[in-house]
Amino acid sequence: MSNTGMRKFKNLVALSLSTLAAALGLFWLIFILGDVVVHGIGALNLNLFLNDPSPPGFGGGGLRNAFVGHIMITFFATLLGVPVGLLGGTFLAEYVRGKRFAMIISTLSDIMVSTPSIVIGTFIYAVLVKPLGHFSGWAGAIALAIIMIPVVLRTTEDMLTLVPWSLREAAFALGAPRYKVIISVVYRGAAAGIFTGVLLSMARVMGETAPLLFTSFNNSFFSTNMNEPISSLTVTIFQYAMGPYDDWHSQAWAASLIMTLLILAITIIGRLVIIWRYPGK
Amino acid sequence: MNARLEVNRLNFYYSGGGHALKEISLAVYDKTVTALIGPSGCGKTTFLRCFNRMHDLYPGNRYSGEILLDGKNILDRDMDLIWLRSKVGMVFQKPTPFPMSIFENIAFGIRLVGIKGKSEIAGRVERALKGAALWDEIGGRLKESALSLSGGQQQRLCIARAIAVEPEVILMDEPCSALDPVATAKIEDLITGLKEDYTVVMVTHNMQQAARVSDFTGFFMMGELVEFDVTRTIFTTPSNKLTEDYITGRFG
Repeated sequence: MSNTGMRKFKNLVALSLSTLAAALGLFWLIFILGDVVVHGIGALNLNLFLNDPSPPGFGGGGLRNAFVGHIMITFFATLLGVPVGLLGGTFLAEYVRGKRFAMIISTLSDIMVSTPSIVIGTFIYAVLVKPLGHFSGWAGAIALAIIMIPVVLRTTEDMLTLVPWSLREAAFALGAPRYKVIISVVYRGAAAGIFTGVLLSMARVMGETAPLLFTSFNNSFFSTNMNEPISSLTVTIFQYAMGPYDDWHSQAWAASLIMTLLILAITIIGRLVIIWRYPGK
Repeated sequence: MNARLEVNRLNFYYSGGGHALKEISLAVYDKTVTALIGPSGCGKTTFLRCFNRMHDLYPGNRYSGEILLDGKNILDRDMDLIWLRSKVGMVFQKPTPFPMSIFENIAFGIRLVGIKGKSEIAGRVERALKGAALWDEIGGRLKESALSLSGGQQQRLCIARAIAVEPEVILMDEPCSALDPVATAKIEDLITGLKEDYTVVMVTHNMQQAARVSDFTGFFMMGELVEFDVTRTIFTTPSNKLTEDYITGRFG
């Protein structure tokens, strides 16, 4: 075979293999998403959002308690986790950049990001749920906040590191004190990236089940009391999907679809912010 | 002529231990343009960045000797760097507009020196833009992002930002090296005008530029000030053989 022929043959092999791999990945993705859409869309109705669960077999029940609980847990998790992650990332990028200490914290955060979330759930169970003697919404929010912190921290650090050093020098050269340089100039330069990181970390924790099973657990009734067990969509999906009743199953499908769409929406917003802020990259 | 800045036996050491400036002494005269020339790595930018203590942003750098600004040694340990930098402004090699509107870019520095009144800030912004010959071009676009300006306009915006604080001295680190000849000519005109009110110290790689805009020129090599004199003298009858070789293009 000529040299060109050999090259074309190798190219064909590599192209076929990579196409195949991509197709395999896409197949499962479409399979799962398609399944969720097909089963979920039929079960969608307004009652799902307006009613609390009814006893099995009675019909007409909804998941209002789970929607509200989920929103509350995510909201408080964001409120607790984002400031810590933001300030921590700022500390690493602006105050101790390049020092050994900063690198250790960064590496630990990377490990934290990939820690199985159930480990964090059991940890909060041990330090908060067990001593207090009951599950609570706060425990759930704290568990999710702990999952968010390293994600927000690393994104913040990376985004701040991307802000050119010359911009900081220019602000310092005008006589700006350090905190002003960071707040007025550096944050502005990194705002879109940090915002995207926060959104993605929210999307990440919204889909978590394991840490909530051990912390906020579940509640069949409508509750907004963060000191008590509180219902969440993911735990409800888990419970309903494992349960024996058909209307539980269909509600679990509907909840899965809503959950997926919600996370999709947040991710798309995050991407759009990046495209809007960094066109052409 | 009054010396605005007096440098006496300045030595500078980078944190790695490099002895970057050796026993530099010179005077920068009030309301003049002083150009610093020399081959890459000769220490001219390092020297320039001593005047606003930019080196203090990085730990481990060390100075000895003195630089007097109005009789005060700015290298003193207890020097208020925020005060110093409001007296000694700086324009960098690449334009460094902040990621905010044109107006906010200039107002940033004005607010830093403690001016709060809306109309006073607006007046100062307008004066600064006029001072940097930008008002006619972009006076109607103050709310637009500074990043939407051309490179030359961005650099003049940075000059406007520096003069808005009303410093005494303006440092310029190769302010035209990232610009085309038309934008360069505009900045050069601007520098010539600036010396009515300010003392300018600029680093340049462009010898014609030094000859065109400066009153005094210092020639640096290997961290030493080889020769410092009136620009005309440096470019016509330099007393040092090294200076002559450099300006005639025999090396560097």
